[in-house]
Amino acid sequence: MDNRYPGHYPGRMPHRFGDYPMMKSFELAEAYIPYQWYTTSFSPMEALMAGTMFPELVRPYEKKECKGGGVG
Amino acid sequence: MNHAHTDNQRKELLDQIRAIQFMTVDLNLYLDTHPNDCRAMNEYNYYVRQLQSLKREYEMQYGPLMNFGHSLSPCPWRWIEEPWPWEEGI
Amino acid sequence: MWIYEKKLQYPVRIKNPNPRMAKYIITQYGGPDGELAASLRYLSQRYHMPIPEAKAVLNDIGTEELAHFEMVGSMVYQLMRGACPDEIKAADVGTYYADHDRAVYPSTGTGVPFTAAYIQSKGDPIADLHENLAAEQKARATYEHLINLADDPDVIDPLRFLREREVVHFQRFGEVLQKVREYLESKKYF
Repeated sequence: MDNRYPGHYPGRMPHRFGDYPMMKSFELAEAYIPYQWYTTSFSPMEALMAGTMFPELVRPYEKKECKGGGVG
Repeated sequence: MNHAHTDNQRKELLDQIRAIQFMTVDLNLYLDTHPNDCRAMNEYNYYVRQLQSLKREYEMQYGPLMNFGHSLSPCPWRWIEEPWPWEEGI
Repeated sequence: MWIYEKKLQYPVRIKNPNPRMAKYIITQYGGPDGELAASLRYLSQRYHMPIPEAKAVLNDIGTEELAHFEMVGSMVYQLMRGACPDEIKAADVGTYYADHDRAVYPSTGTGVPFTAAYIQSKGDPIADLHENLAAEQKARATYEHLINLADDPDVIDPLRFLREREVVHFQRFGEVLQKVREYLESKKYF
């Protein structure tokens, strides 16, 4: 497991930042979202259950346990 | 009042339609930003054909899925039939 | 033009009424980060977008949000359906019931009616796309809060689906942002 990405979802491949076809460099004061490259997909039923056909776009949400009791 | 039967066969067919259509929706959004991905384009068309045939099968038994000219209906007009989608989770 | 298909995008099959949950969930129907706001925001912004990819994405995501608007409305409807006035009162939903019975009305959980003040259509495509990125994150966060509040798997299931869709929408808006930027850059050299 790659420790640079805490909470790394197994099977989620970080996209390379050089993936923009026309990009020469990143500018200050701009926001960039990596461009997706489609490789594999879920089957239709799996996709509907997951909320997307693209495994790399799945972001599972786990309900966190709350111990309560205020500031420790 | 005319209540259509919510039987298992209907539910299963509609769930299949939902799943295939979902592929077309997610592919559609992908293609909007990747218009030159022909592989994805072919996959979209593949699901469109499947969807059309599943919808025809569904509509023959359970009435039109769409109105305003997009689906045929026998007489009496089946479009108004219950349940509507928010009612029994159809 | 819009065509309606007589099915929900993802099934909503809630067996047990729960007015308290309905009150929490209704914010995604008529609240600031909800599906109606998302839909109107994108469908309003699409007119002024400069490139075909942007018009398509705003058009199509705006349309998908209407399907989500319907899902959330269905959830509220099913959660209120069959609840007695006493149960509604006990769940602190009496003020809503007084004005709306068990009907679905676009508002927040505290009864603030929907307003276009929740959205912006700035005309500046960069600003609009950043607004949309933020909107998708706010919606995603709200669904996480709702999932935290829910116990019923019939309720959690569609909430999870809706949450994941926000992630995908965020990705598409991000891609459009880059394309718009490239377009605006290229225009500088003419």
